[in-house]
Amino acid sequence: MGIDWLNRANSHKINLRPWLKNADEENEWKAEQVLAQRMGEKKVYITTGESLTAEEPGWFRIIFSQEEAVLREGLKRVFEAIGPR
Amino acid sequence: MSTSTLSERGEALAKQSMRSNFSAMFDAYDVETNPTGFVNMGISENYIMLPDVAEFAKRTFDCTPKMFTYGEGPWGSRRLRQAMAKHMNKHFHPVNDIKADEIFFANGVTSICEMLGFTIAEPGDGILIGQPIYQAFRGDFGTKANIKLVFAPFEGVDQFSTACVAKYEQALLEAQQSGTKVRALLICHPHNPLGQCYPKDTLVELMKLAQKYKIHLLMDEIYAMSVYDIDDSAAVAFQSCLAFDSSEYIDPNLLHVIYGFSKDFGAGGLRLGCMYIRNKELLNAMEAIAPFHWSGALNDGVAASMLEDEEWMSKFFDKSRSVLAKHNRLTRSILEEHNVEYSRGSNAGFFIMVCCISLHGNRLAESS
Repeated sequence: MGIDWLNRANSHKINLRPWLKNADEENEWKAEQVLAQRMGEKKVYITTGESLTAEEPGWFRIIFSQEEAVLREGLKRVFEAIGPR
Repeated sequence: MSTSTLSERGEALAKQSMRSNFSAMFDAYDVETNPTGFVNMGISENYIMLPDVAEFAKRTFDCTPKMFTYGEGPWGSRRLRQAMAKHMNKHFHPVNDIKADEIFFANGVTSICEMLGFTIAEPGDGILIGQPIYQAFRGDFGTKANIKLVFAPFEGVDQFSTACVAKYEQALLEAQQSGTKVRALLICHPHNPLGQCYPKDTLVELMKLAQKYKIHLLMDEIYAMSVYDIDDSAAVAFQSCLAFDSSEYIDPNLLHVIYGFSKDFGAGGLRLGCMYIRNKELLNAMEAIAPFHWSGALNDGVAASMLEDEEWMSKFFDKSRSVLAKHNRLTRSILEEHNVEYSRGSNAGFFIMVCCISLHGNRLAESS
């Protein structure tokens, strides 16, 4: 089962396994909560897909209407929270 | 047995943590003064345009004694309602001229939603809404009016196509079968959080659905002026639901447009939301509870000055749209550099939906 705005963008299947290792339960939404917590630790305030009632886990809403330097700093912290590349 | 001295509802409210929603604001990031503070990527405001609004207010605002009175009542001064009607006639291209008396102001769209919940639904009734959606509607309708949101999942169907209507109808029927009466359909056009606009045929089908079940259609067009050109083939141009003759699809007494100063005007702090409403009975009911949702006459005056200076307003919107388009593109390009997927088709609003977990999965998949 997919959602259209996901499918149109993105044909691959979401792999949540790496996150589930960090989560307490085998629960996809738990993985999103864990990532949200990490974003909080990186001092970036962001809205989760779960709170937006998204149909699938893993999505976040990013606000981009700040000054460019603030936007870049925020995105940097989001990538840090997601993990090493 | 409870030891609380509060009422049952008071006790339930006391368990909520409204302050935590604003905790990031007490420790906000600033490159100079607070570099370790929270970067706010959560609260949707038109931050870039705030200095322009502040500068305009400082330069032009004429503070009069009348602004320290109760004014002309809680629904907004005639001056403000006239200026808003003119703004909407100019920019929403309505087929029928919008009149000042059809504009109702309150202290924000949050209040308007609560008032609607209170006046069009009984406690426990539902408002039909698609997924995903602006998260605060749950509290706007639920906290005091005790109205539920009835969510429609789309399960792979394009929620901006006419096929979405069957999904809304299914959710409505399932709710009714389980004992929840649906009293309204709420659509964000442009959509929050997806930043997309609905094509006219979808709006028409949604109107027919609301008419079929005699429910109100609440069209939240609060981002109407925050739509911009962007190189995305999936993007749809904005057309207000008032911009075509809908009389054969829906009774005008059921169709209402929600708007306000918090987004397009970069002025959430003015606490001014409004509704275009032709249903006299509903308007009377809203007016009866309006004293609890009264914005200040000073705010009313600032807002009216902004709208009346059409030349300034026009430059303001041009700049706002241009910066929003630039930042939408910039965000997309940074996400692409980092191989992070995002939802396509967005050409409106201050936000983009980003898939943060697939990145991690992908990268591991790529590296293994």
